[in-house]
Amino acid sequence: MSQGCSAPDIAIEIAPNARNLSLVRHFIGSLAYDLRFSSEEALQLEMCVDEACANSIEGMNKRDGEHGDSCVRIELIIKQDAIHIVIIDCGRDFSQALKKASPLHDFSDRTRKRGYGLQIIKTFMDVVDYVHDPQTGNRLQLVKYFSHVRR
Amino acid sequence: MKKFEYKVSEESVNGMVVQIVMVEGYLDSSTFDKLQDALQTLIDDKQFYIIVEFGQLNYISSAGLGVLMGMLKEVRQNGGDLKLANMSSKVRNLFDMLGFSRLIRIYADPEEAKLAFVKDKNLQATAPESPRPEDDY
Repeated sequence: MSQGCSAPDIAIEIAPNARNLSLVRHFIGSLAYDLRFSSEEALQLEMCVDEACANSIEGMNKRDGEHGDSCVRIELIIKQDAIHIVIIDCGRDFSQALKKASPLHDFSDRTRKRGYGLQIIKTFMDVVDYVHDPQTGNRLQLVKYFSHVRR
Repeated sequence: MKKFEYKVSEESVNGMVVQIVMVEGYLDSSTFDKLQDALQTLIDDKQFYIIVEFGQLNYISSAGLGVLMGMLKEVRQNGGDLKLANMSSKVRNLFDMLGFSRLIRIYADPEEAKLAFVKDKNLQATAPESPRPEDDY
């Protein structure tokens, strides 16, 4: 378990192909269970990481092959009070979309075919932090606090 | 585990033709287009009474939810409805947590969903202009 800001406890890299998402979901779901998140929180984590990775894959594939051999990197840092998940990719900047996305508490806003992914992330994660660098790409950090640990 | 498969069958319920789409596997950004194609084919054939049977579905992402919301809008605009039945507790939990279960009708099993279509039709016959409270389209 990490004590401070350090190297990830676990890092996974996947090719930018949506077929890999089910493996990521299984892994996150199992890890969340091991970390004693509730079944509801585990599902929320699974869904948020799935949505974030799906977004990364779509953003990378929209760059028309510019990503070359790049992959989506998922870093997990397990702290005393939270899990920090960092998703790194070289896809397109989605800062505007993330800024516009509101948590899914407004029940009237459900008539769209697309665009719920970032809203889901904002709804379920305790912290969502995003940085885009034109050179290095996207770095999305998601934090979920352990509800069973007193902060 | 199966990635995603579906099977469409047609049933007549009190003279209404209802399409039942049984789905299996998971609905994420790698599979949602299959369900979209299946539902769009039904809508193109002017089949607006649709039940999606979720019994063997173990996950749905925003891409799958988007397909359902898009198709729901289309069938309701044509006087029909899209009803969901037989959800696993995991998938039902996702719908509840995200608030989608307030917009789309969910039934314990396909039989209950079929009966609901008959009830809807009877209600429409007696009060054709009455809007359904949860329809916000």
